[in-house]
Amino acid sequence: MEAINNVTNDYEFRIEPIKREELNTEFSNQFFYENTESNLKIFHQPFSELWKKTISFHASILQITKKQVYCDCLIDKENGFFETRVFPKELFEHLQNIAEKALVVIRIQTKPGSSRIDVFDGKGIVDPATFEVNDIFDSLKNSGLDNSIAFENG
Amino acid sequence: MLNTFVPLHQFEIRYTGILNFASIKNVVSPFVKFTSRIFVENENSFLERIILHFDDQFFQIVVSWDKILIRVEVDDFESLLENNSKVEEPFFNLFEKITKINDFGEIGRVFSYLIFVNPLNDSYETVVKKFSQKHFTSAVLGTYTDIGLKFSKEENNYIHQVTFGPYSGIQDLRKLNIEIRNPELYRKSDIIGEYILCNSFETVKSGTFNFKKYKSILSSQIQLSSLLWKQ
Repeated sequence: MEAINNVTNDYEFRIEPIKREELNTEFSNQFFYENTESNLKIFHQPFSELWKKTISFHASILQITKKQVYCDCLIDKENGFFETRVFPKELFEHLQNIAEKALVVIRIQTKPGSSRIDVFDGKGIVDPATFEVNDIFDSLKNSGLDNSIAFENG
Repeated sequence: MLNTFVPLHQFEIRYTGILNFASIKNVVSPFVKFTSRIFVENENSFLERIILHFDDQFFQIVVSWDKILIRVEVDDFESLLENNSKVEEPFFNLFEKITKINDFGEIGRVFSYLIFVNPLNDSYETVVKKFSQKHFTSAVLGTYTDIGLKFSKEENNYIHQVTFGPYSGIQDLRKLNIEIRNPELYRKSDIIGEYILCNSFETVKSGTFNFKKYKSILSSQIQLSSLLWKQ
C-alpha cells in the first residue's frame, strides 16, 4: 500500500494548509516576444469574435413588460442627453434585482454584420443621482393638494 | 487622414499618492465583473497596483496609489473620442470614483501617448531615402540605414514630444517594448511606412479632469500628426 504523505502513524494525518491561489497565471512579456506566430494562433482561441466597436452606457429601468424592458439611457454624459431604449427582457433575467429604477450598465459591441448586447448590474458603477428627476411638484407631496376633490351630494 | 492607424494609445492620470490603497480597491471592485482577468502586484505594499484586463476588447486599466492609466490597442482611434467609448466607460468613470474617495488628494499631470502608422507602398530603403531627402538639406553620412526626427515644445502647462520617421514593421514597435495582442491589428502593423510617436504632458491646474478634456488633448495630437503627414 502506497504511503500517504504526512502520515505519522496509522491513525493520524496532517492536513496541509490550502495554498493561496495565484492570480498571476499565464501573463509574461517573454511569452509574446518568443515565437510570435504560434503565440498569435494561441491568442486566437479565446476570442470567438473580434468586435470592431464597443460602447457602454449607464441606464435606469423605466418599465418592465411581459417581454420587454424600457430603459432611460445616458447617451451623452457631457451634455446630459438621455434616450429611452427598449430591450428584450431576457437580457435582464440574470440580474438579481430587476425592477423599475434599477441601475444597469449596457454594453453594445458591433462589427460588420452583427452586434452583441450585455447587461450588467450597475451597483457601485452607476451614480443614482444621474437619473434622479427634480420634479417641481415634489414639494407638494403630502400637502393635501394632491388629494382628489370630494363632491358632496346636493 | 491617409490610411493612418494607431496600433497603441496610452493615457495616464497622475495624482497625489493615496496611502490607504484599500479605499481604492473598494472602488475598483464593482468593475471587476467587466474584466477578463485581473492581476494584483506588490500586494500590501504602497507600490500595490491592480491591472484590469479586458482581453476581448484589447485594453487594460492599471490602478495604483498614484496613477490610473488605460492602454488600448485600437484600429479606429477616432472612436475613442465618441460618447461612451471604452475610455469614457469604464476608464473615466472609475477615475471619477477614485477622486471621490476621502483619501484622494489632487490631480497632478496627465500623459497621452499615441503611435500613428502610415503604410506606404515602398521598400524600407526607399522610405528612408525619401524621408532623408524631404527633411534634411544634406546627407551627412551619405545613405542611411535608419533616420528620424525628434522635437519637443513646451508652452504654458503643456509639453509635446514628437518622434517622426520611417517604420519597418512590428520590430519597430518591439524596440519600444510594445506588444500588439489584437491579431488583426498585429497583421496590419507589420508593414513598411512612416510613424509618428507623440507624447503629450499637461499639468492639471484646474483640479479636475474629465472626458471632455481628454478629447481635447487627443484631438490636438491627431491634428499635430495630420500637419506632419501633410509636409
